[in-house]
Amino acid sequence: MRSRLKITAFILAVGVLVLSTSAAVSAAMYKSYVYDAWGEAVPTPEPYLPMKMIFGEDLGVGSLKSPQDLVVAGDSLYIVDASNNRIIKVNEDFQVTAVYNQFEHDGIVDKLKNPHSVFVTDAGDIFIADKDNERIVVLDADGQYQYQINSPADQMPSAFPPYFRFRPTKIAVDRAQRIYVIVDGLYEGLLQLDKDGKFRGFVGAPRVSVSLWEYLWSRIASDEQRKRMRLTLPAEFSSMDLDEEGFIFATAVDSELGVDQMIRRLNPVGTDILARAGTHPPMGDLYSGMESQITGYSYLIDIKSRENGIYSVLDRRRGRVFTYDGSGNLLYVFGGVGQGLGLFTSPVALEEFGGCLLVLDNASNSITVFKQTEYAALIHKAVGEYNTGKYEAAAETWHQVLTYCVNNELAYSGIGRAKMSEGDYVAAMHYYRLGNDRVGYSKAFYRYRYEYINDHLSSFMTSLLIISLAIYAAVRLNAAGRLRQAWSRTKIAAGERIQNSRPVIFLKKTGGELKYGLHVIFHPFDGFWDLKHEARGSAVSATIILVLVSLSYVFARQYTGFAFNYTRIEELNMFMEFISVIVPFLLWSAVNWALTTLMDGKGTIRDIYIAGAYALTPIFLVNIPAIIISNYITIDEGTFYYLFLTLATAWALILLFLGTGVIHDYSLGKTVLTTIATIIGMGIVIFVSLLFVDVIDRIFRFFGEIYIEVSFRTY
Amino acid sequence: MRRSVVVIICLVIGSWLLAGSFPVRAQLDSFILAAENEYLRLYINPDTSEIAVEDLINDKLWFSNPQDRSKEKGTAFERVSSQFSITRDPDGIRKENYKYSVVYNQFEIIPIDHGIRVNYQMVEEWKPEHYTPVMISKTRMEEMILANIDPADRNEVLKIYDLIMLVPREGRERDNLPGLDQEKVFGDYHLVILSDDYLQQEKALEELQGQLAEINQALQANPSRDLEKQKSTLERNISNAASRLVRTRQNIIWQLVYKIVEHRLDLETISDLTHDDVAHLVNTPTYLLKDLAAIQMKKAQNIVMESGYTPLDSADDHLMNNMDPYLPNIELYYVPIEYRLDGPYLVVRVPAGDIEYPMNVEDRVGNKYSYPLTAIGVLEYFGAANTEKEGYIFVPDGSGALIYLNNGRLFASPYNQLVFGNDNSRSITSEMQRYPEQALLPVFGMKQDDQAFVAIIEEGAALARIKADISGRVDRYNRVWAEFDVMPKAKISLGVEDTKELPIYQAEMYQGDCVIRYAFLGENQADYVGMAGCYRQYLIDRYQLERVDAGADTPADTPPDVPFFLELIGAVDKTVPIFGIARNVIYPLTTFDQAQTIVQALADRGIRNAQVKYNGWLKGGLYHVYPLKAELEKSLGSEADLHELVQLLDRLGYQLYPSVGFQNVYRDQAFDGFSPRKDAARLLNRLEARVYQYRLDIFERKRGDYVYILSPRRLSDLVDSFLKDYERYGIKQISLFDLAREVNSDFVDNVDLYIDRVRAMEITVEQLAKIKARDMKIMVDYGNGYAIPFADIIINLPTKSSEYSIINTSIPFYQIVAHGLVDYAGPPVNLSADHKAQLLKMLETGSYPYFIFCHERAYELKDTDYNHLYAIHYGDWLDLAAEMYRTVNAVLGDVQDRLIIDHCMPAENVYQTTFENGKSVIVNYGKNAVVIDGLLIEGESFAVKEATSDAH
Repeated sequence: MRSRLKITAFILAVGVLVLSTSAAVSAAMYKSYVYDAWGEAVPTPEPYLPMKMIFGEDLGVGSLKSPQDLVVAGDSLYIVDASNNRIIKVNEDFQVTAVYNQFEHDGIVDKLKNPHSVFVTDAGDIFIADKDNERIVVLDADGQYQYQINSPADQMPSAFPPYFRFRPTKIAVDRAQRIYVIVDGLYEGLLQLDKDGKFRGFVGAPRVSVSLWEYLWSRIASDEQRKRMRLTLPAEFSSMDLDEEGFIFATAVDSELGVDQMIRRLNPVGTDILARAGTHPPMGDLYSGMESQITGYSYLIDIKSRENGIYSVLDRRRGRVFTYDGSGNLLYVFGGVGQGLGLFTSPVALEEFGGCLLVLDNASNSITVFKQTEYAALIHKAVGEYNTGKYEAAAETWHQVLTYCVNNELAYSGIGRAKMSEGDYVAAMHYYRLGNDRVGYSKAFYRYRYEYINDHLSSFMTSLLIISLAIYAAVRLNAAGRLRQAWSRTKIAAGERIQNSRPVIFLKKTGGELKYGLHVIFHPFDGFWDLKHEARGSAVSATIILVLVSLSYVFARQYTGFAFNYTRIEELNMFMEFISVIVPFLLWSAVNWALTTLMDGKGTIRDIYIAGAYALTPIFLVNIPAIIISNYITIDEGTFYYLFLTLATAWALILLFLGTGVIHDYSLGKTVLTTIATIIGMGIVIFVSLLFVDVIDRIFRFFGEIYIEVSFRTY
Repeated sequence: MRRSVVVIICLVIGSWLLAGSFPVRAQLDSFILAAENEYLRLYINPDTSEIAVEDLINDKLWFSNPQDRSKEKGTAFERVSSQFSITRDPDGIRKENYKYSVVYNQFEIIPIDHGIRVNYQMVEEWKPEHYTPVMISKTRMEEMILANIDPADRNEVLKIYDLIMLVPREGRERDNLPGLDQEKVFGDYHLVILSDDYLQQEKALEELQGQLAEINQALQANPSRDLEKQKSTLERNISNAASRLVRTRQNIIWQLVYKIVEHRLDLETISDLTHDDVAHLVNTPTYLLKDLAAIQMKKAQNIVMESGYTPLDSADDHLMNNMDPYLPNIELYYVPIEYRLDGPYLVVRVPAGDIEYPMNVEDRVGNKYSYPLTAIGVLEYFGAANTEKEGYIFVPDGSGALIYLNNGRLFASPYNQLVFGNDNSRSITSEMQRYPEQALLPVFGMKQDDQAFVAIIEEGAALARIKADISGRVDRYNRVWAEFDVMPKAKISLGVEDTKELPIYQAEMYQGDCVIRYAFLGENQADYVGMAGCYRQYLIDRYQLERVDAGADTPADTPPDVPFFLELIGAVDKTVPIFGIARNVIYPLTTFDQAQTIVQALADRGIRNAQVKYNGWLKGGLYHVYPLKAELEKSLGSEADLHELVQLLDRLGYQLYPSVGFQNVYRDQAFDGFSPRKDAARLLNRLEARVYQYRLDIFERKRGDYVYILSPRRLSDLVDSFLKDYERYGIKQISLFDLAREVNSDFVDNVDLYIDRVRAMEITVEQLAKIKARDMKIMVDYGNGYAIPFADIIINLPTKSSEYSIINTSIPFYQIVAHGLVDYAGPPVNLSADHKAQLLKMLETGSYPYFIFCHERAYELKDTDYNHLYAIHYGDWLDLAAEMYRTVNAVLGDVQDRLIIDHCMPAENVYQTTFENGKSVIVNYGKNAVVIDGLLIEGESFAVKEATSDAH
């Protein structure tokens, strides 16, 4: 009993002294996920788990105050403690090894004022972005003052806007000793200086892509106006990091760029060379969350380049860390917004230190240390192995990743790639399919088809020969005629009664009418004329054609080859497909009828309906073979596939146009007019219907509100 | 009229005479003894109604309010001096009993058996505006107010008044006041304004007119452009000043007539006014209150309040000026609180059924008001520790958590957590708050220096939230307390475009009791292990809990095997298009035959004593149909197949726990016996309660992806019906998926039908008891505290807390309470990212391995609603499971039925758990090796210290 007491007392003492004690844990306050090919966030195991929060008190230097940046150089971490006007250097055990807050030069003691970032070169020079002093201070490894860089606007005022103030927030120095600076409120891009601070220009702001109109305008604009036209889009950068190859990873926050262009990888000339080859561009969260508590796209506040081309970005809006590989595939996401271990209220900086990821929060003035889990370690391993060409080892590692998480589509693609190089194309196709990787699948399929045809070339050719011979013989021997004769003999044998029964007559008639559709599409003028005047078609067969067209779309959704099929099979809904064909068609018929009766068209609504339906026949005729073919071609060959589909639609539209003219007995000009008017009319009908629906909705809501008010206004 | 005069019935003096020992401690000077027994003495201060408890065993004192609180100022002092606070709606304002009751002496102390009851009447009788009369004659103003205040302040008071008087009209012109019959009201009199500023303006106007006259004369004499210009400027100024005067005058008259109407019940509009109503103003200079915003009056009101002028005086003034007096506040509360000694416990009871609040009270004009009391915080400062104290607050978040006293984390919100998790029938405020663990136990406590208390919420726990805060935020005290949401409320907005919100409430206030039981720990036990021990003893005494029966049928010389918990996923539903129509089809993941393969594989790898939970075996799979019957999912096999599985399990010495969820209705089909309108629980807005899925990335609701909450009213019948059918399988075990995880109210708007959360919990407990009474073994998920007496197995028990920022560290409090009484496991190993840490956590907390398996390749779950089961293919995990089982079995095998008697942290990231027989397990989560008591423990590893002979 006695010893227990002592122990408890001891723990308590430890506990009170070391404020940050949180055991390694099994789960986190946030839920991790990745995006699948459909853009849906699917759960994964935690790639990183929060271990502890480190406060300034734990470091023994008093509380941090609004810290702005973390920077790792060698085996030291620099914490930029902005509002305390100091930079704290700690080692891997988080013991303070140096504090930089003042230095001597020219016989005076100078101090930092709200420093925002720091960069330490391999030589040990410390570049400090001393924001409120509007300068960059360079110290040597011992903290002795070397020199300082003042505003480059002093050198070349014309290059800077008049309101410019040199308030550096981020700084980086590349191997060629070029200094890159992000300046608060500077929208021209990254400021590039040479080692001594000589202004060299701006880099990184994206060029304006000139549209035709702008080009024409610039031809006629005056010189003054031309000068005012921007060559680059304004972009404010939030952070940057040098990668292994010496390129600059940067994140933009306030920019006229698209949300998917905020992460940039700049070569020394300032061109963005970031790979965006993943299923989604690297941009943090893909959605802005219009209905949720936090709205807006990810606000990328820091970027960290890591091994093997992998990089991580920190999203301030939802407190998350997104990690991508060199091709732009999302590897994993963790972190969250809120109060708790692993959550942040105002994260500002991300670093990798001693195998852990660190996130700096300047609201709680703390650093959260995240430990890599087995799951993330495997992903990193697999990416590394793939990058170094060890495809088989990578496949093995991706297999292990899958035991941890079957939702990881990248792993399936990774295995698919390895299977491809092994020559196991069937397996490769299977894995690519699971990984929703259509390009990969198509490649594997191409190899598979090639091999299959090669293997079966003899039997393939034999069967081709036999089929041709059979066709030739059939034609030669007039097989069809003989069959028909045989049929008529049977007909006599079976008796006239069946022949004259009503269903058989109906079937024969309808069959004939449908067959006539083939005539119509090739001989539209003649065909539509007869359709109307000779009653070669009927409403029944028109309806059958419509249903067949709708069905062909349903089948296309479900049975088109994987490489071309972007339908989410679980969400396929036949009724929606039907409605999407039939409603516009009926609308066309009704509006067209309403207009042509006024414009002395000769066609009745029945004629319009029948002609319209017959005009759609090519769609059905082309869709079905296209569906079948799509299963046997690769994406590269897809051009033909898409061409056929487009042609079918164009053909149908032309038929519709011609049919309208023929049945109403219009001249070409009048047909064009009617068609345009019908399209406008359809638009008006849709608009009015929407208006009507909205009004009805409002009426319902109004009564709902009255109900609520009456039933709940009790207090 | 002053109401509710103090009644203090001093306690039976004899009781402390009998006790023989007069309080000798200086701290208790102002206290009187109220009750005592062999463990405790209860004192109360008759002036402040604060209580003190003397712990005779440990010789410690506890106070309901800090004794050094006089350093606090203003509202902080009022809060620290209060015994409870209420939250009144609709505006959610907190009212402390010190400010609203004690200072007015509006409480009475009544002796009850073994204790006392204090009845508080809470009211703020007069509001500040009641101190400034609408009209007061000049003489009375000078006598009653101005004479008693600092001359410097006089101006402040006069600033908010106008001085007026009626004088004979004598042919003066009427004012232009359309709508007012001036003949009728003023008759032959004219209103003059005597306020200084008004008179000054008049004087200024006269001066200007004088100047104008001079200029006119000068002009006549000597016309010049310059003078013309001056003249026109002057004329403009004159007309401006004149119209300003007229406006001011008109305003004052309107103010007069409207104020009179407002303060006269018998007058409806200004047309009812007659000369009699203003006759008293004739030749009597009288002050009239200006029409100012409340904020502008505040200073003057405070000055008048200090002057000694009372609302009663203002009533006199109103009467003298033919107006009704101000009436006192209509907002009255009545709250009783009882303190009783019960053996070693102090029992605090708030009988919510006796609480009264203003409901449809009328003010003098007949407007009705309700001020519902929505929450009551009890003994918020009991045992509060000031900044000098060392120790921690214990809160029951997840497995348990500690907040170190004075930890300085002011950036974090105070701790505030509902007991037993969210009530899904109350709308969830934010998806982001749903991830963390629940508070599983209704227990909290605090250790300060060498003493500690632990409090158990005995009744009303399901409505309680535990709150804690550290020093430095509002005052100097660290504190932890329970608050009861006695009147659940919500706000509904009227439509989308309308931002107006209406408050809505439960059909009536919670009518039961709120009871908190405090126990006090002395030096030997003053830590969280002691608190856990105390709660464990309380549970054992109350429910006659017994130790787990570890390995009754194993030979005596080998230690019994620990259980291995396996969850099998039977079938799930998937959306598949059939001929273009999206259909929900059942997809079997583990059939009964395949289940045999899996358990056989377990047995082959040396896993013994497996307890197999079979999930998704009911018709419909994981999201099964409304379980009125225990129908098998056909795609998994026949009843015979199930029996074969059971037989195999029997042979292997395993047990099968088929799983069922009762509280959520996953599928609503026609004719399944469940109708959302009749059987679903209702939200506060009376709509059917649904629990939605949310998107992981942007926290948006997934449309159409929801389950219904069954009304607790229907639960008993459903359970009976299910059990009746379940009997035919002859299985004597059952796994209850949600009974120990959620407690949901039914807020149907009907006083007879609604079910508050306390009753909902009672119904849940009745079901557990009913199943237990059938001699069935029960496995529950998650393990809300009320299930401990009934459960044989708890799986998915949190092994850590939610780790809110205010929390310093997690502790296995729940496990210390439960070990040896019930078998439990943490979260499933194969779904967690860090297996090594999981194993260490098991050893530290005495949990057993728990895996979720299925037979089919797990990628079948990709692109389904069950993709959170992302790693459950059994083949991937058998080896890890077997290895983990061997390790856990070797370490915990012989302590399965032993209590945990100690848990501590000998070094950072190193934890030591000691069992009853003296065996202790030391785990090291850190990366570096450590030496503890001469034992080397590698990084991310553990060591076992066997029981030595000198330990008991």
